[in-house]
Amino acid sequence: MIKIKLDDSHVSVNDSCKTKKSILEKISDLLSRPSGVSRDHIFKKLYEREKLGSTSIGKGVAIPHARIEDIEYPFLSIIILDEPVEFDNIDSLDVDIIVSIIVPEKNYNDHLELLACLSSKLDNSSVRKELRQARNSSQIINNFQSDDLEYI
Amino acid sequence: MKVGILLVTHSDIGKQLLLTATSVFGKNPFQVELLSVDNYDQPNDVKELAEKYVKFLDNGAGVLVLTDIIGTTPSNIASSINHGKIKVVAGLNLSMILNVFNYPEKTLDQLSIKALEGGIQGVSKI
Repeated sequence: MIKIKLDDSHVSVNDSCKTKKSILEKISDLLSRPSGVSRDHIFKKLYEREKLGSTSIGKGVAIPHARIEDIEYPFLSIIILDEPVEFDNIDSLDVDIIVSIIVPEKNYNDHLELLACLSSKLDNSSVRKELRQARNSSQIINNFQSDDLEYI
Repeated sequence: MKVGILLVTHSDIGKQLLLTATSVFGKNPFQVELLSVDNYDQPNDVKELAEKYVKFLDNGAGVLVLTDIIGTTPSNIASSINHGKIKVVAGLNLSMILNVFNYPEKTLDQLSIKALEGGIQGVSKI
């Protein structure tokens, strides 16, 4: 079981970001205060990872991720866009579900477990449908309940 | 469904080749992850990580694992990954990655041949 930080303040529903860059900035905004890491540093780490290749996993979903020094737990952030945005997607579908994690630098294993857990959850079409239809953050968070994750 | 790619290399080689290939090609059309292996890493720990990466990257089309020099720890780890749909090619170079980038719609078997061809074509006397 992986302990991970998630609450309402990490979630943005009906978001109107228009570009990949503004999405990464939004994630950095959402996670900066709870994690205590500067917005610029989170952005830099997420941006560096995207330069290696898009974190789009297809079907309108992206999982931007980065490992960051000086945080104690992983943090999860979720953005649902009103209009899909070009995200260097690996398929023809632009992205409207963005589930982002920042993970302590040393927790390589947790990082991979989280990626695997989130991607298999988001591979479920009914989960994607519910996320797209959700109108508030608690509806979003409900979709991320899992036996493998403990939200703290 | 598209093949996923995992680079298993000594230290930062994979990252630098991938950054350069992405910059030359203009984009990276694949879902790619990097696993760097350093002298102080325990092979068994890294093998476990590699298997987790492969599991994450496999969306049904399989995973192409590219590694640097044959017979060393990264390539030994790559070839020991226990996973159903996987192909491993050693001898990673820029030409190999660029050739793979040209064929995002190929199957795993076809893509592993493109990797091999690209890698070999990249070595020549000039």
